[in-house]
Amino acid sequence: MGPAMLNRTAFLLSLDPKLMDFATPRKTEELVPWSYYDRNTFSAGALATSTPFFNAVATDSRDGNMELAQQIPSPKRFLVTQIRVHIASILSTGVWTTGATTSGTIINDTNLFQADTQVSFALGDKNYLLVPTWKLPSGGGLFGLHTDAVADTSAGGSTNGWPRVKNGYQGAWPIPPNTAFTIALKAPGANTIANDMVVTISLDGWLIRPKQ
Amino acid sequence: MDKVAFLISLDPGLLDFATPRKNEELVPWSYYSRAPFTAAAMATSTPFFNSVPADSRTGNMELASQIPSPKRFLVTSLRVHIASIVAAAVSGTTVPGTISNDVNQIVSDCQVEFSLGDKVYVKLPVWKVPSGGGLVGFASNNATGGVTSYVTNGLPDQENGYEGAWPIPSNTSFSVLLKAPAPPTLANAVQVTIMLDGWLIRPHQ
Repeated sequence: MGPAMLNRTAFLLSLDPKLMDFATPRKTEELVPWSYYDRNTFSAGALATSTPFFNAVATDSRDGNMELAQQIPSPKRFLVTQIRVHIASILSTGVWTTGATTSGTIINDTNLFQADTQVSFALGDKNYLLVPTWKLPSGGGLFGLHTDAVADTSAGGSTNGWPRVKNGYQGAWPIPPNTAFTIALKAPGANTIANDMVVTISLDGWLIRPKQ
Repeated sequence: MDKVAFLISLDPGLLDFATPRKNEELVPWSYYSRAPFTAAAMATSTPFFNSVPADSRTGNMELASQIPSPKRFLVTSLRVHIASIVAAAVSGTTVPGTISNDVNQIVSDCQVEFSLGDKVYVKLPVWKVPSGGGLVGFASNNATGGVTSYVTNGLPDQENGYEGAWPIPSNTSFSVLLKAPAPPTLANAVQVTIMLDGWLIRPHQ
């Protein structure tokens, strides 16, 4: 394959035989495109300086799909190829109808998350990522236009980056079986949000597991 | 990415730099550095990456202006992100417009310069170095509502970055400057983050 045909992940694999070996399924294995995700709720008020993700098995699929906290259970292994952060209001609070200012403050809260928090990813005690949240666009979310009349209530929506699924921070980060990894949303500043918000971090990648 | 791969395929020196040795690993990495600008005239030149930050809001350099040995770093894209100070300047009817004006001044009237030693490798207007990230969306207001708006430096899409291949060897001084030869006066406090995306080559786990 010529260099012009490679995406970033493929090119990294072509440079590093260890990565290529990790990503290559053995005879008894299959390679499955997969996404692990984990969602946390942030209440209106001050943000914690560090909030862990993927550190618990979710009770239902709204909140995540990890089978084991902070690990990929053996014999599976996972090559992370993209990391995404999706930021949303809590829909059940009726943000579209609660008045004139709420939607603006939700956009402000989204702005605060993407501009003033950071995401870290470590494997064991070694850092593999520390970037501002704006660097990890969700690649999806609300998109559209809204108008309102004077008598109407206002509304707004915002996404972390251009909501196009190919818009993701690409790389190649291998997570071996049963190896503890930590992912945290960091907010070292005194950040306060005005509304309840939910943040989802998604690890896109390739899951290598025994054949069906 | 295609541009980076093509540059590396043309230059064996670059390929050698980017290829991990047996005891090394290749990690996608981004170094970033953030500087605050107050509502006032900007400086004619503002250095970035020139100190070790106190916390992760302002950067992630381990050593000022250098990549510490035995690591080395291939910069594959440069980005400039501009944001209002998020805890303030977000409500009210006039502020959002002036924030857009401030961002416009920085994007149109400032330049980014990246040097290794005393050699300049990049010197570009900020509009040429989009962030590839930021807030997207829509907002509206009625007569009783406030107004909120944000603008980004370019389309906030990760593929939207100024790509290249600039190797930074271990313990070699580099400088990144935001230059404003005719300094604009900002109406609001804003944060400018410069990011060097690339590949970090370091000892294996």
